[in-house]
Amino acid sequence: MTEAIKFLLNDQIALALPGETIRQCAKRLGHEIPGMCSGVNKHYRVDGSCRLCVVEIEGERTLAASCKRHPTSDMKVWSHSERAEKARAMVLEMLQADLGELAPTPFEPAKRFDRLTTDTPNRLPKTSPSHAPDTSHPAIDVNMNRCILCTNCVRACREVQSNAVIGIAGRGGHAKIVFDQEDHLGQSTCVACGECVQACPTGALLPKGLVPQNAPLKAINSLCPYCGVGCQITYHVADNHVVYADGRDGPANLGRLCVKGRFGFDYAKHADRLTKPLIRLEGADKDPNILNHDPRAQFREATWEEALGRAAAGLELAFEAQGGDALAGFGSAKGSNEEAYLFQKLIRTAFHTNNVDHCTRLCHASSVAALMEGIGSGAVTAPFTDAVKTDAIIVIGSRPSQNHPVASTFIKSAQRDGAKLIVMDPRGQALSRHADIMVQFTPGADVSLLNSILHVIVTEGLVDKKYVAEHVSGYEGFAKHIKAYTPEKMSPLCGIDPETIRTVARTFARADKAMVFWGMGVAQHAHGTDNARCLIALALLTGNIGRSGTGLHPLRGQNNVQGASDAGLIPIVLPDYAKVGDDQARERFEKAWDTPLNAKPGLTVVEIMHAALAREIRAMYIMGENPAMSDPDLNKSRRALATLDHLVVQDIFFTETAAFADVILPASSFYEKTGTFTNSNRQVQLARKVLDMPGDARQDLWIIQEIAKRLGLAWAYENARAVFEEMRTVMPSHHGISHDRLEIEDCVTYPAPNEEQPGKAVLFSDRFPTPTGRGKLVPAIPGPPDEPTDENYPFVLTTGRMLEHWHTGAISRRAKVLDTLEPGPTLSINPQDAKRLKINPNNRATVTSRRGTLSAHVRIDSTTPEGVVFMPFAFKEAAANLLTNPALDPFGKIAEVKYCAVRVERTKR
Amino acid sequence: MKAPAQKSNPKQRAKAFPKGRQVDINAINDLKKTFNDAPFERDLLIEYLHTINDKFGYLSPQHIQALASLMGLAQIDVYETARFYAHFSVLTDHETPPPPITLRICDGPTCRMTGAKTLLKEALSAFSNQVNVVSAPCVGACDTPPAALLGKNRILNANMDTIGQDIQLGHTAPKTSFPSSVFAPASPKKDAHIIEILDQAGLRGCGGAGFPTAQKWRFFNDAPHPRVLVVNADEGEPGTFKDRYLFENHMDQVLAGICLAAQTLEVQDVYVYLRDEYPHIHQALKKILPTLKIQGVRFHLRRGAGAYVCGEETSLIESLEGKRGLPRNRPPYPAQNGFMGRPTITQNVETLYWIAEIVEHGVNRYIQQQRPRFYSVSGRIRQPGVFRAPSTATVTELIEAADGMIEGHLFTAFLPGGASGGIFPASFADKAMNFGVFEEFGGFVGSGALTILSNHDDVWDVARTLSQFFADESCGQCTPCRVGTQKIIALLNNAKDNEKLIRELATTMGEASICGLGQAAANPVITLFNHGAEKP
Repeated sequence: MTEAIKFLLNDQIALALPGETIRQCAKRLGHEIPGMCSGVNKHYRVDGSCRLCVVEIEGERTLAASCKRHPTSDMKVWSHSERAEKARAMVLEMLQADLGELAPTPFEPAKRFDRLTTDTPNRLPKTSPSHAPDTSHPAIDVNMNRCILCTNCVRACREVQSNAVIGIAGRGGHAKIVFDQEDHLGQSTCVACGECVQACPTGALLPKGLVPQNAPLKAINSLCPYCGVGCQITYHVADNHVVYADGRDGPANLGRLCVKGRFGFDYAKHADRLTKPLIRLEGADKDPNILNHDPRAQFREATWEEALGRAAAGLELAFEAQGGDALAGFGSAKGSNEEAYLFQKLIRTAFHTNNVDHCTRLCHASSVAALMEGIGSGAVTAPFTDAVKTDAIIVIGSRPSQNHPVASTFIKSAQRDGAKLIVMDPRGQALSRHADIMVQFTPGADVSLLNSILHVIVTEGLVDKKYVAEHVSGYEGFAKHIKAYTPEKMSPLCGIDPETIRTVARTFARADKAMVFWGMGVAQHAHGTDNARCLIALALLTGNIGRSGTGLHPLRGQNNVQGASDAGLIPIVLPDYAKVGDDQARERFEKAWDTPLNAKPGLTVVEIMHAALAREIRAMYIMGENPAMSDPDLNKSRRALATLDHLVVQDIFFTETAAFADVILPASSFYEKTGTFTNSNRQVQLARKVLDMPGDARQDLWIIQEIAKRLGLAWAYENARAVFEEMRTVMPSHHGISHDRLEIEDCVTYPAPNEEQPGKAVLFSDRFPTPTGRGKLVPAIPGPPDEPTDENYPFVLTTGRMLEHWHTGAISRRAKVLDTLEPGPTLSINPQDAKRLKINPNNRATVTSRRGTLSAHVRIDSTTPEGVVFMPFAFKEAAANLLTNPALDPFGKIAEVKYCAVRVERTKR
Repeated sequence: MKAPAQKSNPKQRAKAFPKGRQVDINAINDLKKTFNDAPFERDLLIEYLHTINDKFGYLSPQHIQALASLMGLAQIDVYETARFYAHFSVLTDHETPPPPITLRICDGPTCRMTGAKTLLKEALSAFSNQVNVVSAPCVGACDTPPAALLGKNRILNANMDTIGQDIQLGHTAPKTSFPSSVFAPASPKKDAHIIEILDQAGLRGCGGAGFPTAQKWRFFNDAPHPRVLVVNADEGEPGTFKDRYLFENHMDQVLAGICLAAQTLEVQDVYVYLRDEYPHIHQALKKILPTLKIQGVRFHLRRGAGAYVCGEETSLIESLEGKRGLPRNRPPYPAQNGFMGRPTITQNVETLYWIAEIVEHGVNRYIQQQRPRFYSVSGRIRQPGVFRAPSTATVTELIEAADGMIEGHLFTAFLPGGASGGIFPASFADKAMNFGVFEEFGGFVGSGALTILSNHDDVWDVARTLSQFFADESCGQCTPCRVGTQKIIALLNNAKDNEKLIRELATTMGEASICGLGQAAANPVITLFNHGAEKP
């Protein structure tokens, strides 16, 4: 129905837009009809249960819920007749009858219901029992004396976030909101996404510990600093601290957040913040084991003048003595695009080297290598929000419910609405119960598994022949290569029965539209590029790129890893992926930057560490990165850092890496700067300054420029806007994005060819940016992991993250709620393995690899398969990367942190 | 559940388990064995809960979690469904399980007249250590009061002796007197004229709402397939037992009606939703339904689980989908979007009987007989039972049919439509028990459940009891019913002084509730205010 519907509203002719409800239409025409169970969030399903919005419709015996009814032609509706108003007033009186007082709070969402109510004394007797408050959860306080059963929280939890913790137990007057099996919130499966808190209009669910402020809160629109979803947030600020965070209706998050973004903002105010420049004391020698002692004792405070001077001088010394390739820079995937751009520009122009990299190397380097090779572009081909448009979804080597929680909500919704969800992960995960097919395969056997799936697609005639003929190269060779990989042959290698392999292949290939999501389980392997090649083949063979509801989506981890890569923080490419060895491309930058540039690709992160140990790299400038926690084989990496002649670390905390510095420069946190950040969807978004910096910390942009100045570069970028405007001129994909445009629109997708039109969300519907214009099928041959298990090291150690903590823990360990939820390191182990090793739940376990050893409390977890143990790498007390294997993927140069061999035993007292 | 920590603690150590409850492997194995490792279907959740509750006598937190895990559901999906229905004993952690067999003592209006309250008290005292003694709303045995259910054994005209004996002998299975030979009705031919016939006959639904049957069937004119027919055998309106009677005595004709409807409406699935208080019917239907062979039609038998609201069409459909029985806002109507989104038509058992009757014996006979109905007559009369009578039958005539008032009882008041149809003084007894007669007085006949009160009954007590019934049975979804039913009970402590406020509540409940339960819940009280001779 595309026509407006003519009806009578309050005796006047009204035209309802197609799909509009009576309530929506009435509101648009100026008749505000109250409601609580619907309208709190425009993306929520409309419930029609509170009955506040009832209206009179001619010919109907009872009143109708205007939030659910759609006008029909010539319908006669009265929204404020005596009948409707009387009912409304009575419903309100009913809801208020048992409502407890809302204690004073600065949390605005909690006041929405009270705004509807009047002071008229309530005539109804109180019949509900009093509820004891539930304050068991570190982040959320529950007070059911304020509950009006509007059920917004139920929809928030069950339908929007699909975490399925909140429900209603009992009926009638005994009906009440409960968690799991009527458990206390702190003992439930609640993941503290806070969607329910944001949805509750009465304060029955509140963020814990909010204190009423003296002045009204300032609301500042910005972003989340954590992951690559790029949620838009509104921060409510008083007295230079964030009181609470609200999810904003951004295109990537639709108002949703996760526990990190919503409750993890206080790290910026932690006492550990670096507030003064620090310089290494004379005679305080660098010690690879300093982290076991007191690293701070090796430093003294200094002025900015002295620190900057020292920092630049050391770099310059190395440059003069050993040449530019003896220097290297690590930029930050958590910094802004502007900071990333300036940083790589500094390294390239001041030191004439391409030794500049960032943590993407440890993350999706293999995915990007395969994508560049296969389809000519390393970024996603479609946004994760398109999951709701698919008919089938593969999620492989990714645990989005913990690392991209809001992105996973779209995957869960898609499945609920009929898309077939296939999850492939050696470990069980939150998506397992949503999966139509859960494939828990043998760790490291990705290529065997994927090749057998590709085999079925090719041999059962499930290939999209037309698409392959028009858009794909290498089919003949690929089809020949894949013949050997029958499900029967691959089954013992990957641990999945042939029938399931066939079902997966058929389900994916027969779907009209399908997407592939993947993460570190695919990428962080010595054969990570091969893994990704198989995923690209899956999409190319079935024609699943370029149409709405299709695509390849390597979920980007950091909030700005996409942007940092785009801005050229990569040793082999300049901004916008211009190859350093491509003369024409490089010359364009030489002209723009008015300086000659090195044509030789630089070293990558792990290579730089190895080169430092070999005394080939002598000096480094590290901004917002923590290789002393995030690199594989930490003993070696820390030795490498300690070997450097000169190390400048620019960060907000005294990180493990800072312990090896010569100069430490206190920088600005995410909340203290304005800048642009690019999420996994290629959406460039504007973050705005929310807080002032503590002590004498300075803006990263200022620090970079001060160093640049001292290295002879005459830079004078006044602010982020000035940097961004320069970036646009050298990055064609960002041509259509101006800082002004971002100020107004908050978000623009790239590639954006001009300023008028929206950027392109779904790419490659007609051709790929490859020399042939086609996507390339690249065969992959399965091989064993670099360090297989054996008698001495019989367990597979896999590392990764957890919901509450972020990567090396530098920020999340210092966020009170997050650290309370997960206060220390754990080793996840299968219950049967624990029993065999005589390890009880309250024991610690000692884990040893050929490279290191550590001890941590165990977590008995049946989703961890037998023979495998898991550790998050966020805890410095038991840094998982002490154990991991630095073997690199030959193409992406990413380390195999997802697989190494360890032995596990109960820690002896 | 432990009390939550309130003070700020020194830093806790990391938890030894992932969040929330950990799946109990023994519970998983229990269920795998119980269900023979079969795959689980979402809409069968309530059937699975019955199986577990029947087997163990309760639902433990471990079993609930294990079932959720095996079904790929979250715990809350299973828990909140289990907690909605009165027939599931949901245990909390560390709670001692009740005795596995439950003894339900009926608390319906007629059973109360025959000593049910005392029976409950005595049973609690004498039998609590052997069986789980609970009160239950009307179990549809008003012709043999007081009634009790010991497990699946309906004990009619129960007393402490008969109950005690059955407990002793372990008689917990249904007692049934169905013929041992399996029934198979002749497959009726499909006939498009049937809708016209039913239209001429003016047949209206007999479950309570009285919707014209032909009009309802016409909603399926352009409905896509697959389609669903629901047989509403939930018969929960207190005082109603005619569907039970029809199953017991006219099973053949009921089945004929079902088959006729299934074929005429061209459905692919027929769901018989049977209230859990009729386990003897369940036992019979379980044997009989598989014998009905109609091309392209599957028959499904589903148990209710103790929720009056599930007699409401959309609440029933929610229950069939394995969820809490929450009525839906309409539109869309079930004929467009019903069970699992499919076009669905729901018919009461008695209506299906009449469909077969009209098709078999003709419209004229039906009209000549004044569109008869099966009236459930109970209360202070000598011969309670089901009476087939014209829809023009008056209350007086039905009392006569039931052999008049019990010795020593004067006829003072009656309920024309179970708990929902209002309470009327004897002065209204010359009115016909028909649609459109009591409506203008704030009542209705609905399911045709006539309960006769006498001078031994305090009508305000009855009103209080019925109001409590509605409060217990309210699903809790919408404000007017959820809150209104509670407030009315509190205000009834002083009905006289609270009349104005009660009337306001009643108006809003009638105007703004989502379903008939909330809309009718205040009828007992309001009709007393309006027509009762004595003020409270």
